[in-house]
Amino acid sequence: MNSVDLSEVLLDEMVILDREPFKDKDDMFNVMTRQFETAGLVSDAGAFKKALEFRETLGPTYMGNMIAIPHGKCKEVLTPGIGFCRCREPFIYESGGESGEVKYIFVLAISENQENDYHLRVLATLAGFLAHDEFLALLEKAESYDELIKGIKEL
Amino acid sequence: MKVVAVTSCATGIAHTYMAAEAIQKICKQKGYKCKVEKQGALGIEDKLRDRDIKEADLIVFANDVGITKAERFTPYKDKIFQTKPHAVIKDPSIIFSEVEE
Repeated sequence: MNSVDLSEVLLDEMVILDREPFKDKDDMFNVMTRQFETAGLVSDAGAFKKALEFRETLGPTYMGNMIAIPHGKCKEVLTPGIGFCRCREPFIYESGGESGEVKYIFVLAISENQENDYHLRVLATLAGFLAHDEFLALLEKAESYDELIKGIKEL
Repeated sequence: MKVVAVTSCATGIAHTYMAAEAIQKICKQKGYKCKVEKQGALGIEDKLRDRDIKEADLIVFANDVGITKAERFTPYKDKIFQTKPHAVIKDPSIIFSEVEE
């Protein structure tokens, strides 16, 4: 990924591997937004959840291939970042009139100011990766955060 | 075949770049030349030149929000395939649905 270091936006504490499936999207939003707040990436989990929900009203964030990428942009995002969760089993994700089984979730926190271009660039790069089968295979097989980051660097 | 595309989406990050990648990937698989202009949170990236647009056999608009500088494409509107980034990500081959390959 050239000079971009993904570990700067995908923090260790924001990666959850092999979690129990979420009850539904709302359950997942609650868990993930709190995680963002705890990590200090957003100042208010509730406000960030509202931003995610607003984005849902604009169209589906279910991407097929068992992937969902809910994302939100609001002033409460202090540092742009990604949260990743891999569930042990898929759960039903409903989004913008579509629904499907989801096992891999990337939650993107996007800031409003333009000072974070570097981070936005990394988020954009990650979004591009999702179109590649090698990346999807890595998401399935990575057994630790380090393995995930290392695998991404080798793509 | 030469393909050019413009992608954009509501927040300017996720779908814009996923759709761009999906279009580039399918064109590469088919051996077509391809350039994709991204209109996202980082501004306009990989801006298409007038020559790219003129020479293209297929122009793909995969946008959720209005396209910036859309007038560049006006003389070639017969070549435009209009779709949504979400649709392209789920099935990139739809961009060829109205052209003879």
